[in-house]
Amino acid sequence: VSKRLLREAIEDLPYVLRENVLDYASFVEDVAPERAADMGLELDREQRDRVVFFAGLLHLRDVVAGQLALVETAARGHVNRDVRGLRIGNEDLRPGASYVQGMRQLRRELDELLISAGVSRSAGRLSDAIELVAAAES
Amino acid sequence: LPPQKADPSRLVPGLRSIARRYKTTFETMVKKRSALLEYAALLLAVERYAEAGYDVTSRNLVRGRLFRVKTSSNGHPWNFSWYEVSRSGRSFELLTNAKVAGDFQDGGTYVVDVAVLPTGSIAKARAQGRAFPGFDNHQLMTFVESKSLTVYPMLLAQFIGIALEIKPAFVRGLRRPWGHVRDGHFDPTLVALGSFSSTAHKIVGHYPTRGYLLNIVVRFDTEVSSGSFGTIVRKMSPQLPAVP
Repeated sequence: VSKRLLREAIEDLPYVLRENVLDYASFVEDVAPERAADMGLELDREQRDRVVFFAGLLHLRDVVAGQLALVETAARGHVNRDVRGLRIGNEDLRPGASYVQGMRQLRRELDELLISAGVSRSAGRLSDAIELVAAAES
Repeated sequence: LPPQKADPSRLVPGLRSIARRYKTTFETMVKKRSALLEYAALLLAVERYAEAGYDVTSRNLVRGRLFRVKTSSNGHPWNFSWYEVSRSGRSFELLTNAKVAGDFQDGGTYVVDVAVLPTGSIAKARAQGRAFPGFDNHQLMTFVESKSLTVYPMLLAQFIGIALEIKPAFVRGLRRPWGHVRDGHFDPTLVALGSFSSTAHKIVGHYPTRGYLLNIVVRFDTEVSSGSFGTIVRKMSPQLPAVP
């Protein structure tokens, strides 16, 4: 059920990203019961669906956060302060570029959405999704 | 948490709204993902040499001190930017998407995402001009491959195949090439944006028993977002000597 909801929630994302999230959700479907058992929890069918949904969402935020980290690191040159940015193809990428700012804003909005569901900024692992669903039941 | 807090249906409209409003950002992200990953892999390699005590210099920057990234096998390396690292009279050039000859002298050439070559290699290539066939295999000290994928067994097998064709010493249970440890080079490395699939981490755990001298870095972007490259660099083999 929640994979259907997840599919519905991300249907406007680019195909590659959508498939990436759904692949991860399929992986979570397989391993969530075992991971929950390792945490001393037993998931019923409905809880497992919710774990899949939240894990997919956390994965999407993870991908965005990771890309933001890469682009910020790349644009500021990291170990070499001489470098002021990148040129990829015909496009220049500097720390203040509109794409970088857009990524930051996107990350903030995803954080806010997840916080509204009780998910902290630091949550990112499958175990966080399991804990979230288990806590909502207790 | 109250039960409604973990109700997925409450989040769907918000997520759809974000997906629509940030459509261009998401599309750009997908398009740039591979090039940024390759450049970040280059920075990881550079950071490793910095950690080993090398001085780092950027070369051939374009106007505005921008690093022009070579994002594919097309184009000549001297038309793009690269990094140079120097320590005690020894120096190396690091660049992305470098064409190199395989180890088996069968005419095979391969494009590695990040190559480490002795300084002067790009100048020699430039002297050959359009006839430049790719760097000689002996010029390649080590390399990095990057993938924006989950690390699953077939990806590992592909990486081992690349290492076998280009730098077989690292997968034949042999000693590392002479000078490899002395010069602070790292073993051939795969960096991936994804994590291990359910069985892949077990396979990698057995690599030392097979004599494979390789680094597999997973969740690269997440690692970067949680700090710096330093943590990853210090885990790479061979281990760097502790700084006194």
